[in-house]
Amino acid sequence: MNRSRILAIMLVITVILSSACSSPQPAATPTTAPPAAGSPAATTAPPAADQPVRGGTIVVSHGQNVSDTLNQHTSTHTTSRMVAHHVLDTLTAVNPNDGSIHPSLATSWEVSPDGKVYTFKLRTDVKFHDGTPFNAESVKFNFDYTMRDDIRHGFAWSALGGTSFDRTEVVDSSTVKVYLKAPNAAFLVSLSDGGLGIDSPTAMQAGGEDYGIKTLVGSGPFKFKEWVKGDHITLVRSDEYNWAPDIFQHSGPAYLDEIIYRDIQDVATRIAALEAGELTLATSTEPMVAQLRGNPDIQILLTPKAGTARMYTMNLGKSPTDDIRVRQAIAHAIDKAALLGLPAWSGIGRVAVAPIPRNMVPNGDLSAVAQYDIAFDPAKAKSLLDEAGWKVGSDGIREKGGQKMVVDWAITAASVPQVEPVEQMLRDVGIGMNIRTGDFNFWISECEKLNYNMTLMSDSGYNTLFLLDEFWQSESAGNWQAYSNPKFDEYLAKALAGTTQQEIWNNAMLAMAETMKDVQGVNAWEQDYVYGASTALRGVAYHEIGWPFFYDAWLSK
Amino acid sequence: MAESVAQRFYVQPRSETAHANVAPRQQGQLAIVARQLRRNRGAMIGLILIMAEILIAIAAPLVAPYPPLQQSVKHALQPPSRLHWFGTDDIGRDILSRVIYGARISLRVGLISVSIAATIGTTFGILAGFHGGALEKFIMGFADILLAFPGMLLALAIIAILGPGLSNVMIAVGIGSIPTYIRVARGSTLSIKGCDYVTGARSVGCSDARIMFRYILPNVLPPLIVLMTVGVAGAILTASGLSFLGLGAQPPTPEWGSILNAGRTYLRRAWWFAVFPGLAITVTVLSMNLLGDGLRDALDPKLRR
Repeated sequence: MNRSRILAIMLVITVILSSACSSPQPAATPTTAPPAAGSPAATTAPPAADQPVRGGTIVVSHGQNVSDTLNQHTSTHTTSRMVAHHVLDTLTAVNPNDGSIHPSLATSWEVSPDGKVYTFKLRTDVKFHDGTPFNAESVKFNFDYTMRDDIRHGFAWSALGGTSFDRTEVVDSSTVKVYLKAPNAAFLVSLSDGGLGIDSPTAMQAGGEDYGIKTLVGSGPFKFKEWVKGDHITLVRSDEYNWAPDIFQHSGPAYLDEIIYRDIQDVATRIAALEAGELTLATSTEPMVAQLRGNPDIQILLTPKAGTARMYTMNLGKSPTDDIRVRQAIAHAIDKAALLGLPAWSGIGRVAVAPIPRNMVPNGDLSAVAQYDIAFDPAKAKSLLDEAGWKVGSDGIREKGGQKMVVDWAITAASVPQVEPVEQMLRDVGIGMNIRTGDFNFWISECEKLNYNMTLMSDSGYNTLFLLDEFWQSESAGNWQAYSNPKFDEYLAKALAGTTQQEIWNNAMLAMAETMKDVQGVNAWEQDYVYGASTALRGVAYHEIGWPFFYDAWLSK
Repeated sequence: MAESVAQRFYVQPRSETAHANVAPRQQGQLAIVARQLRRNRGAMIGLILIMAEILIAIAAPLVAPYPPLQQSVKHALQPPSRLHWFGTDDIGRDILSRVIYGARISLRVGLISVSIAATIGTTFGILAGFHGGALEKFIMGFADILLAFPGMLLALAIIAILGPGLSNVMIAVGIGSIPTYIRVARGSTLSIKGCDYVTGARSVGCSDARIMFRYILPNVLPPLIVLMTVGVAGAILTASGLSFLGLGAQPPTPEWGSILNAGRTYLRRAWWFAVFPGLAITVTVLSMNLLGDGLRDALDPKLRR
């Protein structure tokens, strides 16, 4: 199934990214996250007295920049979108604070009653960095290009809806119609993603194979200057930029002269470079960022990750996790709150109550499903295991019919610090753990083969329905849990076809509740993206994924 | 390796009758070697440290203050103290206990991988040296191919095929050091092959296998023993390196290399987390090398004082 393949690819990519920086990923509602106990409150808002000033260069490292291309039509790499979004404008913009959809290149839009035809009115004053005008033809060119079957299908292809996307039609130079084969409740949100940014058709044709490598031309606040592979990407301010969406603090050109994205893959090296003043902002990890606390020159920026919670998912197709009592027992045995106190978390993040974190749902309200969350209760875990016939053996590990109760984990080596602590919690109730680690490919292949009992899983993205579909829809290729529940499929289908927010979310909650009643995994914690930054850097905004966006950013003297 | 070295030099010389029928020059030499070794201070320090380590490894459950896997969420990253001499790790496990249990793993990895390499390498080396001809060309060609790869790279490639895990690390490290043994065993065999006692054995009708096993093998052993002693050190180092990369021992196994890797993240906040397993590796490797050097000097007649 084509769609499933794309889902799998997408998951792969996001996980590559997360494993690359060894955990935290970009994500959704921008806020300064709740500071950990004892840490100075993180803040992104400049003190009122400070006025933004123009000028300056910032040096940023998110680990590995981009390994494939900056051409968003074919890229599958998450960091590529993060960088390219500064160069490319999108049709819509999402206010990360409340999820509301705002005009950007599109000034307004209408949706047909059946949800299949979108008519966009476009800005007429926008010029690409190469001087050519933006118009309806540009949109059609871009969408047609993305849907071409002779190019690699990247993130953009699935964001447009994949096979459910039909075609684009130019009505006049400032009006474009998009036809879908099936309603897509998330379409307007997807259009705000950097991955669906609009490139200059002229530049794309001129660039050919090198487009996205040697050139990248959009209409965004920064222009692409150069990309030295494996070293850095440089963006410079576009002085003509005058069409910022109203989700930002200012309009007109950006403040910064230049943004340099450097490739520094090792997080310890990144943090050392940040402390040495070589970097202005660095993607970090919880334990690394904890050591920055108390450094007066460094601020810690946290933003909730858009995506699923971090979950210890369970494979329903392999003993002993095929028994719901065993899964319930495992969930009762894991003390999520205690985990967050360990150095690997350093108090960053929040205990999850559902597979989708609070920052992804309207008003942060998960009360419809929170009742199905399983509380820490080792005594209950033990009695459930007794009931299921698993008796404690001489070494403290339970056994049944000569089989030891050993839960087999397949994880990436980078996940070890977040999985190893569970070992004691499970052993306390008589469950043994066998951990197999490897690189990313090992992990993916074990998951695909369903050759594991438990793993540490999550994905990033701001589209809840997409995430639910990816993980638990019975036919999804990203369903690596052998999960199949007709009720879940039915609620999800209803949510996807929903026309009102209420209808969409009611059904999404019902679907989520099914995975929780089936104890498809332990919804462990809601993750924050973690950045360390120089205190001179002000006004960082986050776009919907939770990545820092530097249009409003400026350097104080 | 250390055990057999000890037995060879401290037990065997006193029970001479047991070896009366082995090649005659072996006897007196062992006593000389033992005496030489005892005079070498570095080698003795190495030997004592290794013996101590072996004892600690064997008695791990008695000497380790805590079970190596016992976590204590409330005691994460505690600095060294009376309760935890080496401090605790990021999930509150006692690092001293983990380092002690880690000795079992490292010594086992060292011994097994060197045994694999020495057994296979010596066999093929003697065969090549004794038979010569096409067989020799084939074996030496194979050894040269293996030698062309840097040891770590070869180990990584083998792990990539076999998958991560401690036993695969032993195999990988073992295979990687086979060619050295082949070359040394072949070289010695070539020089011994022409000796009168080999010719004598042949003339009384000994089979090839008997000649190789009874007359050549004991005489190619001295340089191999040195190689094996140093090889254990190399194997421990490579295995720790692989575990450091997450390809060796799987968590929560207290392997020194993997503890070191876990501690790396906290190097500035909790130096003890990485420093103690690192010290354990250093001391073990250094001791093995000191002993190996001493053995080499003792076994080389030209260097005898």
